[in-house]
Amino acid sequence: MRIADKGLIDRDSVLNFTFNNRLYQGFEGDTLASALLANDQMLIGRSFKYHRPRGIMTAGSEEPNGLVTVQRGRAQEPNTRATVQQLYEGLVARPQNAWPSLKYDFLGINDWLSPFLAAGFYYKTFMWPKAFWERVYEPIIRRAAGLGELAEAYDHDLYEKAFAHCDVLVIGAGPSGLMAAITAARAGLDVILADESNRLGGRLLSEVEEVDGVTGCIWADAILVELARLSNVRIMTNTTVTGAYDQGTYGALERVAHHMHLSPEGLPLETFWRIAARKAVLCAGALERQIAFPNNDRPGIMTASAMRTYLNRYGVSPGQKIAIFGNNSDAHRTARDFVEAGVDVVAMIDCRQEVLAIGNYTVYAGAEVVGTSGRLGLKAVTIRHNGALKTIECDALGVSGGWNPSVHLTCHMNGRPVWNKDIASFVPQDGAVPGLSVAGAAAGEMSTTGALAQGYAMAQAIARDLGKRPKSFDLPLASEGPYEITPFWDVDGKGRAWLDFQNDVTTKDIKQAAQENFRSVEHMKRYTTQGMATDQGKNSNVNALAVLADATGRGIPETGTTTFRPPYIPVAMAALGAGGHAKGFAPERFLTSDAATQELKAPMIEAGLWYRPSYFPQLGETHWRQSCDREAKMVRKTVGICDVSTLGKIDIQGPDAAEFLDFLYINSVASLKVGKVRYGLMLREDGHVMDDGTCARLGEHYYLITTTTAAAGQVMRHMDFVHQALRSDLDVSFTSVTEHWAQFAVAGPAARDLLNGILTHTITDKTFPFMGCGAVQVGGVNGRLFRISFSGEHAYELAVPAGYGDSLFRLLLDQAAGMGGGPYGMEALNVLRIEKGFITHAEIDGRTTAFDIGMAQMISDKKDCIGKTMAARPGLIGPERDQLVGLKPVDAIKKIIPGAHLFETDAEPIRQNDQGYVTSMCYSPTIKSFIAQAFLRDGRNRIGQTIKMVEHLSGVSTLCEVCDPIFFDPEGGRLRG
Amino acid sequence: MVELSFLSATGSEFPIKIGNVSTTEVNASLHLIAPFHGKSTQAAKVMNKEMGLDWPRVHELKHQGKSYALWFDHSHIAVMGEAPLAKLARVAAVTDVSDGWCIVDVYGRGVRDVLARLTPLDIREKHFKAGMTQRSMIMHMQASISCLEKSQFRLMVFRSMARTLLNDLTTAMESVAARAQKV
Repeated sequence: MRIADKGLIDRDSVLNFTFNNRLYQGFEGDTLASALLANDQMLIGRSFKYHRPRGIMTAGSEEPNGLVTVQRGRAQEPNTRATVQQLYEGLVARPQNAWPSLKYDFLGINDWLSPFLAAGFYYKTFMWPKAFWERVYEPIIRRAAGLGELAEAYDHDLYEKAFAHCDVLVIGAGPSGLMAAITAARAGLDVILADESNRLGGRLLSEVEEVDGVTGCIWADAILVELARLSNVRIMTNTTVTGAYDQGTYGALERVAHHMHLSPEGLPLETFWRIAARKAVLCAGALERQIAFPNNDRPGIMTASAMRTYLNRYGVSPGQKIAIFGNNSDAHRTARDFVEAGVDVVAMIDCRQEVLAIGNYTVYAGAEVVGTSGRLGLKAVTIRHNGALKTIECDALGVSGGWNPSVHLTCHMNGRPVWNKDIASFVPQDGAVPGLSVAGAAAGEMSTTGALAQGYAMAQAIARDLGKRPKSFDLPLASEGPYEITPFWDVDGKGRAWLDFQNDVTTKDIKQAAQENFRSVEHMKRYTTQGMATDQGKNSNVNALAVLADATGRGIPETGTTTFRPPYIPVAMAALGAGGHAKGFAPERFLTSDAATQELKAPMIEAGLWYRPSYFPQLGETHWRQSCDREAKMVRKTVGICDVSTLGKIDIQGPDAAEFLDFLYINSVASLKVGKVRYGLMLREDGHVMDDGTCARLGEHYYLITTTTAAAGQVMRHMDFVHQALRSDLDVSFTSVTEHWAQFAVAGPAARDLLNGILTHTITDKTFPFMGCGAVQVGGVNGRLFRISFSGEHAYELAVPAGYGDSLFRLLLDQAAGMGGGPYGMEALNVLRIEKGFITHAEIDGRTTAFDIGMAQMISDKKDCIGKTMAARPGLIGPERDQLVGLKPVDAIKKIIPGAHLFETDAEPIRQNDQGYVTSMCYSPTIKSFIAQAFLRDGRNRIGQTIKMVEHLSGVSTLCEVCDPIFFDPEGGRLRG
Repeated sequence: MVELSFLSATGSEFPIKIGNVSTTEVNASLHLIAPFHGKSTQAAKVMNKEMGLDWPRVHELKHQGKSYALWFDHSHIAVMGEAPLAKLARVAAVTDVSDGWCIVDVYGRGVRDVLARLTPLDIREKHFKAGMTQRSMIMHMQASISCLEKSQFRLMVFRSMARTLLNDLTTAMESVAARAQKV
């Protein structure tokens, strides 16, 4: 119910929202949780395993119970914590894990069956019969498992990633965080202040105690006004720092549009920040823990501090009759605040002896809660006091088992927290994360005055460390009593006492784990699933290990904690991978001929990020093979045009260019004459082939080499390595010019005629002989012409600056069309090169040597080169190697399949009898047969033999004739002609 | 008579303005210069004499009228605009890459917020000032990023990736503009 004159909500701004198909109203400033509590909606959802009715337990991101699905148009967000979901007009939320309704949940039957479903029951129950696991048990369990449902539709929400840098990252904007931020900011440091709430102030917003003579909220607002005015401060609200990583990098999730019904176009739902900070201060506060007592999970039972938050920040009382159960002085603040707000506080049950009330309420000292009642909401608690049982009617119970400092981020780099017996909690270890200091409650300092002082001191130290001379100023004082606690973890009694509310783990489960010798805290966690839900044990870890310690006869420090890992809160995969879907997955590289190619409706294939035409369909062609065959025949008969700009092009200059290239290539480059091109092969240092390409000598000390499309980056990196690490003495410079030049193959018997139709100066066999190169002009633009061929035909590659690529491609197509020619795509290019026995990276796949591909004789014995010695190693040469051969099916219509393996005709096609494998295949319209390239054991000595190809996936088996890899024009007359 | 027409890397209409950030394509002559061994001083002298530009040191961008010289990598600087190529070529490797890069200027009050969504670089004003240049990533693309003015940056990526650059850039611009409208 709402309490008049309380809270920081805007009562003039009414917001309508829907939960469980029912319309409610709340106010601006509410969370979904506070608005539901204000409407007396205590039942929010059902628990994971036993489907127990559950209500709100906390007021923060650690909430284990209040999980709902928020519907936003077509999208839905499951497992949204109602405690962090800001209310907005039109919000639609529904409960989850309940069927057919929240009130009457069929799987609530699990609760009745709970004696059979204790921890570890999976491992014991589903052992027999064996076949049932896969067919029966697993499908049923999988159907029942899971919390919340995905929309099963494309996610249209936008997520983004972003980077931020600062001198100091302050994590959390409670008293210590605000003080750290203002101190660092006043010292002139760049500060980022991140807090997971939409309103900064942390616990100051939830308490009535004063700071510097005013309410904590007013003090916080004043600090924020000053921070907002400073240009060196960036305030990030709704931002949770999720992880601490190397080199002062922190991950942070900003909820950007979760509080908006309709967000502006382009606004992401969430932004995942990578924050690089020179220093950081963790001021994440502390989380109040529960006490495990029988049936402590009913709706209406929550932490005592959450009750105060709902009262003081949201003006909500979760009940009309309030009871409090605690083991520390802090719990009394809840009783006092509710009394002062006019709410009936029926009992303050304190397990400590000799405690005094700080307000007008009844204290049961030395008492404990031993049971509760109320199926869908709390109706009464039973307490044991002075040896007698007493039932007290109440509809809300605040529980405080003490505070756990939020040490999580300090453990993200393998640091372990240490036990502090004074506050009965783990506190961070000094220096657990380099550059990260901890202040306030997160460091175990439970007083506001102390937290303010620590925030100040940490920021002062950081400022001095970073070379500033911070001025000192007076610290504000806070009015509050000391924090006194007597450790108290669980209550013996009839009924289950919950520890992990999300995974339905009880004290009995922990004790059972210990009994079955899962005594290590890590083993206990895995056996019981305690701490493995989305709250990652924030609410249950310390209590669970205290129970484990007791069950195993050890102390809590010896029992230790499990490992806290990032992320601190659940982070959507979409946020982690933001910017990486659809067009953001990878850059798309487009040729200058792309627009013209698309106009011709060529299907595109992606090759190394480049989009290249597969083939150019013509009217009446219904299958790619028809287009491919036509294009291949066209090149052999007239002329074809193909964009080959994707090949890597590297410009090499310098007095030592020739020597450098001689060291890279296996064959001689120094002997190449100006105006000539030579085919070359590069090896890796281990002697295997890295790449092949051409090398053109454009001037005395000026070369241009080409690489394959796939290895362009690798070759450039290799050259950089060789120059910087091996031959820095050589005066040579190289630059990638792949993108500067648009380059087109003009191939076919009519290639020269076509070029002479567009070049400013006519070329002849004399001016441009086979493997010649030089400068040309086309349409007034300076270009380069290379007489090289990847098709086996009389062919050229014409290059112009890329700005003219589109224009030149269209011009070449016009010219070709008038000669019966046209464009050809990757499919035809592949056919032409296989017919000629030319290799690609299907053949030089990183495992083959120059010997394997029949080019060992190219390794010059007059010079050294990279990989030369290693290529001569035993085992890399000889008949035991798989060698490049051609294959042709004995029956011309039988298929050869790339990737298939080769066997002797009478051998069983098993691994032990493997003789090699097929690398490339095509149907050759010229040979009128399928043809292929393959690597065959001692292949060059087996030409003419018959071999069996077996493709095990499809079961295809084909007898093949082993051939020379060059199927067409082996003398090379056509390309020289 | 054969004629070839020029098409810029993006082939798009500029400027594009979203919120308070705009972008426009730059078409300029671009050469990479790498002095030969022992010729750095001569190369710097030629550039200083002919262009009035000092040789840029690491992460530096020099500017004179419409000409720019910027550090490009461990061995190269890039020169934009008219340059004494023939004289430089006597002492350095000079490579024309004018058509190889997509160059866009991005400017406006929110430009640094836009870049924070594209590059991991520290783009705070006092850390990335006018006259600085860096090599880094723009989303998945390796890029050259230079600060021309307090609120004006020049981005360069491979020409073939121009569409991806525009997509990434406008997405970030839309996000920043949408945040300004956020209530």
